[in-house]
Amino acid sequence: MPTTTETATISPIGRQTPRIDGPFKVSGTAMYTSDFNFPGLLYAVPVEATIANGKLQKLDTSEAEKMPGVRAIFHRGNIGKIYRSVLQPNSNGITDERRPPFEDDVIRYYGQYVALAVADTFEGAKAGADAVRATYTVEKPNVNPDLKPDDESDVVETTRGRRKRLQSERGDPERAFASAPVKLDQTYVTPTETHNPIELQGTIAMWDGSTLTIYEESQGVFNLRSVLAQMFGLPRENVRVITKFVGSGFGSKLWPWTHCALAVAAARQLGKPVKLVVSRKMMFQSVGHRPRTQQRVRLGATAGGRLVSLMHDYVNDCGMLDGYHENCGEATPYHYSVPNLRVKWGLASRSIGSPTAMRGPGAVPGLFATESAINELADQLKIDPVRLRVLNEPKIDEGLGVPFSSRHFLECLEVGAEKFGWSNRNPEIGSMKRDGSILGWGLAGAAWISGRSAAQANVELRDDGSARVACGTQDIGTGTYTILAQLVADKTGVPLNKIEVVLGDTSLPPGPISGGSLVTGSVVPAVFDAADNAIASLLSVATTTLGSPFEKHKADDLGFETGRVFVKADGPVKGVPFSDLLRRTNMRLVTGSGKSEGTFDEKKPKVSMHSFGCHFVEVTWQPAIARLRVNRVVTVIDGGRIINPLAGRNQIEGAVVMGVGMALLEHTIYDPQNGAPINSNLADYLMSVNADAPLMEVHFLDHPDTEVNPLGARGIGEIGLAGVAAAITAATYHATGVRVRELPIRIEDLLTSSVLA
Amino acid sequence: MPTIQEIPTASPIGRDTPRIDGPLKVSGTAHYASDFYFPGLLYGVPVEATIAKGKITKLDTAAAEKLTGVRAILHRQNIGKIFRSTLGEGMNGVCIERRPPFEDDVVRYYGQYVALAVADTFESAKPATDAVVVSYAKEKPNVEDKLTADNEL
Repeated sequence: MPTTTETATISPIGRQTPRIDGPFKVSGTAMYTSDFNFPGLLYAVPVEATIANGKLQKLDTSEAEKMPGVRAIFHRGNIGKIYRSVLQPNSNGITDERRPPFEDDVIRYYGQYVALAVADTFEGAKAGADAVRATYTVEKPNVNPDLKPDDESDVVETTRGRRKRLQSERGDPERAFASAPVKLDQTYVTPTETHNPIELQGTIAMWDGSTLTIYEESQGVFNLRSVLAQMFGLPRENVRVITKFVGSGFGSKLWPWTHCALAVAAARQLGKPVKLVVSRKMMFQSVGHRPRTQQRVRLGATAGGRLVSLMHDYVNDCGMLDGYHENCGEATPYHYSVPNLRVKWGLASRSIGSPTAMRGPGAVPGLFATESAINELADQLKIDPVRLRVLNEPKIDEGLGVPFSSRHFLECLEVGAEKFGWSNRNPEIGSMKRDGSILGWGLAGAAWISGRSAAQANVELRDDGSARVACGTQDIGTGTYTILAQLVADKTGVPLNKIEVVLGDTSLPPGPISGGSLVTGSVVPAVFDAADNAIASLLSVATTTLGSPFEKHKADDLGFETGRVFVKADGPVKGVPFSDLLRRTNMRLVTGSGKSEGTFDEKKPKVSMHSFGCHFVEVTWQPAIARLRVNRVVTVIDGGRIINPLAGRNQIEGAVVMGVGMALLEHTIYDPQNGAPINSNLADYLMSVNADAPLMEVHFLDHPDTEVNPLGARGIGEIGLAGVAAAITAATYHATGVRVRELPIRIEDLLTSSVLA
Repeated sequence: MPTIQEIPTASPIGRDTPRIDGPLKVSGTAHYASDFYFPGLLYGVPVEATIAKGKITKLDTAAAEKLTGVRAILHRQNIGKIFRSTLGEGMNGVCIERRPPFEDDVVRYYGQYVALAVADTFESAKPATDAVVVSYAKEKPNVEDKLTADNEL
């Protein structure tokens, strides 16, 4: 029975809060998609195309079909109908690879699925897939890393609809550039990067008549539902998607991929549940990646360091059918004050799988280019790079012509410089040394979108003193379970260990996708609204229900604080725990529903909502053995009010470590001969590991942005990655004198360094 | 496949439109709640209070339970927990008789359910309700035709 001492008297908002789902994860009781098993479950393994351009001429399945345990080999001839889907209003129906699997015999990228083996065991299915013989007419693939726009049309059909190539324009940037006293004109390249969450992508599909249940590690269960409903010709309400735990996604699990439709189709054809988990190699081929970008940045400035012109022209590669646009110019129009600006983009089609969103899509590669250019300009002008940024701080978002909801970029720089000890920097190349190593110091700014997606939630208060919150969003390892519990604890006074959080299920009230760092900001008003409604319901029970100690009072006379209902005049101490009230009135629970609208559908936004930040980086360079190491990173984040600083710091540190990988290691390489991503495994695709992690210091400014929600909280899953690579290349230049404009920095790039220890 | 003639050329809004569900209804193929059947289905018949005001003092179910086909006689002691409901936001949770059935032994109107017989068939459930013997502490009901407000507003 709950006693007074069990009631939380202090809100957990803003407090270091261990994840409530942590114990499930470390004890192995958290069920990830591929952990589920069902009676009669069959296993599917896809057959991958071994060419990147051409046609499937012949598919010989006879040998595979005879193998023990093999139930079927599916292909274009027998998979049954899989329909196309389209983009729908309210961000429904998003997918980056729109072509349904097996739709035609054309091969457009290496690893495209051409058949599917289904067997009683995974081993049987794998052997079956290997025994399928595919014959192709082979054409030369185009995986040329030098990117030029496919065409010069003004408007391009992208995966998210029609978009203008001229993204932002003001003033006369060409003329201002031509007459600028100081000019910079450089091209920056970011490579193809592959998301490598440890949990592989996978699907379990089950049919019951005309209803379909899917277990999938999705970053957006409602979007997956709308795509599958279209692809299988079903009403949306006949499709249920369940995602309880996700072993990270980084964007690769945001939108549906073709393996999911294959599992659904196979389950339909066989009348049995089918599980399909892709291999690590397939993770490099057919479930998206961050595209390669090539970005020309032109800056014109006065001798005093005021920007007069900024031109950002960028191209990203994409698949032959998708039109995926990597929005590298997202931050460019508002990040600095500049009267003349143009941002323009193009797409270059290649014989590769569709790219997709990867942590900080667009702004992360974009800011590598623009922040690198700003750093180079500072060196050219011999102005401190912090000072150059201060000189060009905008008063409003000059791209949209509206004020910022909350921007403290200069404070980020000030705090970062102070914590890092920036004033001790000697700008001369190779001049700073420690323990036989050359030190390099550099910095860069960060920015990322903010706002809200539409969200709904239900909150229950129950007669055992517990609460339940339900929202159809996901926790992709970022701490959403805990945030939802904190919000309910704040409103209801129920302690965190008595709050049940339910998410990741399309049978729940619709919640936001786990993308764009938008979940936290989006769920706050919906959960608060739901909790308020549950409390209102509780107070009405208190005044109207037989058995209540407050039967003679009006609802207005009553208050609710720290889990107690009380007469306002008497104060909370004389109140009754809500559990007592419910039991006395023979009620198990009161429920409240809440919802909030999204901010992205506004035609003309009144404010510009973004998070900001900066990274100060120290690298060490050992010329004798050509060893470059990121040694120390100080990060300052202006991410609104931080609801859980423990998970928040974890987000930023994880992003910084990923940024080290972006700067020094990650690079998916396509074989020019056959178009295959040739380093498609965790041994050859290098990523940061613990040994690569620098000393990290994270500071949150914690200024609430109440335009986003009443708490002023924003999500911070992506902002920590923005700018890291540009700060590292700047520090590397400071140590080595070598300017690297194409990521990742390779040892061979640095061999030209003339700096000696 | 739809042909040109099949595509309506004028909106049916505001036009005399026969009910599209009419054919189901007149042909007997529309399924109303009691038309559905499921494997293993049992039938329930309630026992009605024969007083309008008072208290149940005893409920004798022994004879009823022995009848052929009877699965259970349910009442306050064995029906299990039924919670109260309340009105939520947006007109959710509307209910006129808010008291859950069998919540207490007080009888407030004639025909209030005091027990429930469940059997394999409707025909077995019905005699079982008749075999339940209920004793009441009876009070005089108030069904006065002339209406005066309970309290002065």
